[in-house]
Amino acid sequence: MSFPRLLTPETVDQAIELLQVPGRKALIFGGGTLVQPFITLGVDHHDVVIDLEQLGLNQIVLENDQITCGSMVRLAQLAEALPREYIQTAVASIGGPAVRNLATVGGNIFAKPPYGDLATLLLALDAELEFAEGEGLRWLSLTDFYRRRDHDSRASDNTILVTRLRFRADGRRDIVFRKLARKNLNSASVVTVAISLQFDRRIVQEARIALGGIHQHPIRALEAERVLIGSTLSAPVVESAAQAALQGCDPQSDAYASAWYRQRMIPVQVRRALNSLTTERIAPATD
Amino acid sequence: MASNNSLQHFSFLVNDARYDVLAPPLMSLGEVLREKCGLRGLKHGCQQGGCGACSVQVDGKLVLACLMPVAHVDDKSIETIEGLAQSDQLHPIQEAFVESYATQCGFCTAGMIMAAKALLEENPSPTREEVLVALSGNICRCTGYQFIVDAVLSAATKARSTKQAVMNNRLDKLLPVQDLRFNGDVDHRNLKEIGTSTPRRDAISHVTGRTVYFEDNSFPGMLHLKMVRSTHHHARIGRIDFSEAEKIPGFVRAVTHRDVPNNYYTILRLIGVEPNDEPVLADDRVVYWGEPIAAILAESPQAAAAAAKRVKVDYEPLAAVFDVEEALKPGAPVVTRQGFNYFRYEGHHCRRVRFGDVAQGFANADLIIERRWDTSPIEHAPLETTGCIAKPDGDGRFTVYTNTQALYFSLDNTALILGIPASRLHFVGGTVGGGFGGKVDVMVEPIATLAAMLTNRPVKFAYTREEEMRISSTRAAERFYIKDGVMLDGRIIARQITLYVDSGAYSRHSPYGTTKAAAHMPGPYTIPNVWVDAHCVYTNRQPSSAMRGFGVTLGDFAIESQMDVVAHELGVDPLRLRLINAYRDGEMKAHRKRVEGAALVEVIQKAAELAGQKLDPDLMAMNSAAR
Repeated sequence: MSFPRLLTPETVDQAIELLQVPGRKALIFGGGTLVQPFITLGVDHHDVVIDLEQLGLNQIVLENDQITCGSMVRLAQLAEALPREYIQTAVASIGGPAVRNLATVGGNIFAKPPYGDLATLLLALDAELEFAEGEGLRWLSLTDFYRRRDHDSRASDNTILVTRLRFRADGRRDIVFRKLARKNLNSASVVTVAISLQFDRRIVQEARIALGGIHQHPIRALEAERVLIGSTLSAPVVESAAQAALQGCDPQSDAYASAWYRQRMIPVQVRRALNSLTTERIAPATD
Repeated sequence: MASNNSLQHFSFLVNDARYDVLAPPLMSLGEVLREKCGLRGLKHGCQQGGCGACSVQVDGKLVLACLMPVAHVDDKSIETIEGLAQSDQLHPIQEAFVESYATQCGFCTAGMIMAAKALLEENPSPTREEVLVALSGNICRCTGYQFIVDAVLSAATKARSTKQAVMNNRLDKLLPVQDLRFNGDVDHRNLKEIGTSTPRRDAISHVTGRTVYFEDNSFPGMLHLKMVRSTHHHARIGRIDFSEAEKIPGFVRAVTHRDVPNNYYTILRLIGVEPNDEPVLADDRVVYWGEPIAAILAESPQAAAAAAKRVKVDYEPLAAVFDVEEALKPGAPVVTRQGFNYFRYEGHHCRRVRFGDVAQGFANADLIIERRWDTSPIEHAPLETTGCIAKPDGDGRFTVYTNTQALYFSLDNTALILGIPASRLHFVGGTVGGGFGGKVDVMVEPIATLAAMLTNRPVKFAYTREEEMRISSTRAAERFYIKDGVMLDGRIIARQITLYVDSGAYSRHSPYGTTKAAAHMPGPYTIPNVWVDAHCVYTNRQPSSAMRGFGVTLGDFAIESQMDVVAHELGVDPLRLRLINAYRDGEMKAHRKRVEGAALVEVIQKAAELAGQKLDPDLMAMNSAAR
């Protein structure tokens, strides 16, 4: 048999210790939707698999408008616990019911495009995540977490232990999630857009625009955010934000869509997402 | 805390019965249920969470058995398709699937039913939209889903009335399992079948998970075959180094072209097509990405995959050609061993049809209309991947369990490749988890049988989902140049067609498909001057082959698209254009076969009526018997 050894730590400290044993190739096992096929199909060799199942990372805590969620919380569990429309829409857009019963919130952070739709939403929500570094744990914003990964190729995704995520859910922000896919249900992303805006009366005070399905991980459309801040969502502002979202995007081609098509869909999806917010804020939307 | 790599004990309930198994903790639940518990109702269509055929419930929750390690179900309660029918009474969902004709090949059925069960337990009265969401993780390639959704909605109603039935102690209202089975003794003398609904004879077997597909056979000591495949589109092969592969625990042996008695074949040699152009295993070169080079045999699928990955092949890359017209140009990379990139039809470079005089037709025409039409390769995407198990019997014969759509083609070709009499082979097939023409290529049986001969052990060779999608044959890509000479009144008086069929690297069924394509031109129309050159072209793409109506379907796409263009250019109604030119009984087709039993005129008239499209009286007066 060529199955790796399965290690099942019972505390986070034990897990960190196991990950630090030198000289062996390790693989973290969360919900299994990404990792189990690697093992079954013998895609890559690993010496040990470190299972997070027994770490008690499956809690969702809502405290002072802040949601803290264990990395092992299943997508279906998240949707059940948080009846907010943007969470429901994002979770419902991923896989089928059986996959949502297994896939974890933490695992979605590492899902490669055209997957990772929940991570796209989390990026727009300014989520932070807690992960193992050295012998301890530290919090970092998801934006910075991805930035660090881009610059540090030594750390394999397979051995980054994420324990918790947290994000605000205070109702002061307008949030929208939009996923363009080849079919309505259970289809990977062509372009995913998640936007969170905070208004003061009609002026945008704070903007987060995240794009999924484009890059190796979800990315922020920083130029588009800049266009929005300090403005109302007038049609010209929406249009220029939509165009600005293309800056820094270098979409990939895969079986779902060509880079050419994704490139064209980015501004369209950003515009539609913004327009869905303007219908409430201003009206009338033009789309 | 740490478990060891060797077998570990797990205990769980399946359908209320306790199972104690020894398994590696990271073996998938699906593999454990199928191989250790013998519960083979769940199917593996992809082993990566994409198809839903392995859907089961764990502690009531719907999951995919391919995505869970057995370590995660210790002490849990699992429900599978085998637990649904109670004491020979079908579950209401199973009954509804039978009655609604919701099964076809049956490979997705168990997963569909388990997903439906999980839905109805949570939501006994779902809307159609809710059913779609609940089944969205389950793929069916055959039915188009509507009958399946109908079945789930009907099961919901049925379950409610069944509850009533149970309360009234009237369980007999449920259909007994045995009642709908095929009965060859039924008296059919009255033959009153038209207008009545007859249950599919395999439906009960499908809904209960009892249908036996090739992979549902398992034998002690069975080896697993994994192919080492080309990572180049075109290359010369140098040394093949197995030394790292041999170190993988469970590695048994490698098989190369040197082990194959008659390495070269072509499937249709059985009906006189030549030459034998395709090797079972590549010898000195590869001509497409994914071409098989060596077969690795190992004790488990994982060991076979790990060993195959460690085989080092020295390649000397060569220029490759991917376009049919480029491949026919002088100086193009040569794909075939014959030295030219086309199939030779009785000495000719293409299949030709000559009828009348197109040059004269074009000279007499009011207008010339020319267009080019292209199609892409299409994968059949059956839910069950291509595969077989070859087993040495005690008497020198081999039994081969296969999902081929062409049982005797496979048997005869295997005998020829292995150089043994056909009487030494016993092929068992007929149950196919979706084919669509994609399982007629004799790809797995010869090498698996050879491996069984070389090791004297049963050998299983099943494509992974990736192999099925990227390496197995596709429908051929075709290119058409159509030039029409037309009169202003809508008559087409000349049609010249040059068509190219991309056969990929080898022949398989494409030379035959090209002949069909040529004979199908110029479509169901009587055109007095026709000229067709149909080229079957070799390129460094994966070989193409049979698929539903191959040679015909794509020609129809091109011709009917062309007809619409002609109608548009002439300003003639597209139906009028077709009715004017439609062939009539007794007329001569371009390939010299007289038309008999034509009905195109009547079909168009009826279709127009059904679509609410009014036809002019002169068109309504037409018929297929006379012009």
